[in-house]
Amino acid sequence: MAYDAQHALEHPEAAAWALGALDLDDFRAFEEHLQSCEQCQAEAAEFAPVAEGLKRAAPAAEPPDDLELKTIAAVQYAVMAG
Amino acid sequence: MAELYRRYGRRLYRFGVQNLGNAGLAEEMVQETFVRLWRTASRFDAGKASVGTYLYVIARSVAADVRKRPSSRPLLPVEDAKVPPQPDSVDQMLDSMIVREAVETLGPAHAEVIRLAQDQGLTQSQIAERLGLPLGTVKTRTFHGMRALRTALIERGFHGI
Repeated sequence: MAYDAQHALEHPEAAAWALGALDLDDFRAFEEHLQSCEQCQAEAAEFAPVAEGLKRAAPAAEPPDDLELKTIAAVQYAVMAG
Repeated sequence: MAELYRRYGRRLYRFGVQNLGNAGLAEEMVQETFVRLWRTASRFDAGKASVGTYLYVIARSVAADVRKRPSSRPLLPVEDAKVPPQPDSVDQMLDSMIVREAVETLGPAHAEVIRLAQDQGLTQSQIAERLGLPLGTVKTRTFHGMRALRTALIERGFHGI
């Protein structure tokens, strides 16, 4: 399969698809397109591990302020529920 | 419990974000970890492990359970299911460092759209709105940014590719 640069420009969604960042309409349309497009299948397969790497390397994050209260409430609920 | 949260909550949350890649799921993991701690407290033997170690063991188990839930994987590629994260492996730690380094090599326009998608969970149209750009531009930037990132990862010996 020869790589078609023009097609890549017309269907750049593979990258956002791998990131889980497509809007729902685009996601559905791209998934349908993906069924029959070898080039986009190849792009998607190449982007998937990149997106996975990004996900795993998520930067150190601060928990939200209310997580302590939510956590204590969850434990109290579990205590009451037995 | 509040004291334990203050000592370990932040570390557990970061562990959750790193393993699950999502702030909401990390919150879910933290809450469930403490609930399980309470439920299994009678089994905890202070002579064998510290509370922190015990919490970490529980958190790993909870994270694995959260990861299996259908709601935790709304738009991810199917292939992802075959490669469960290995949070403790040296390879993964190295890969995380490589990814961060590779992202630094991206041009600011490419890095920006990828960070908004990955770190803030924004969709392409939300990114377009946030940056005041046409949707097509955001899609193209994301595509070229991911391309450049993939090349940078390969050059650095990223294990996941």
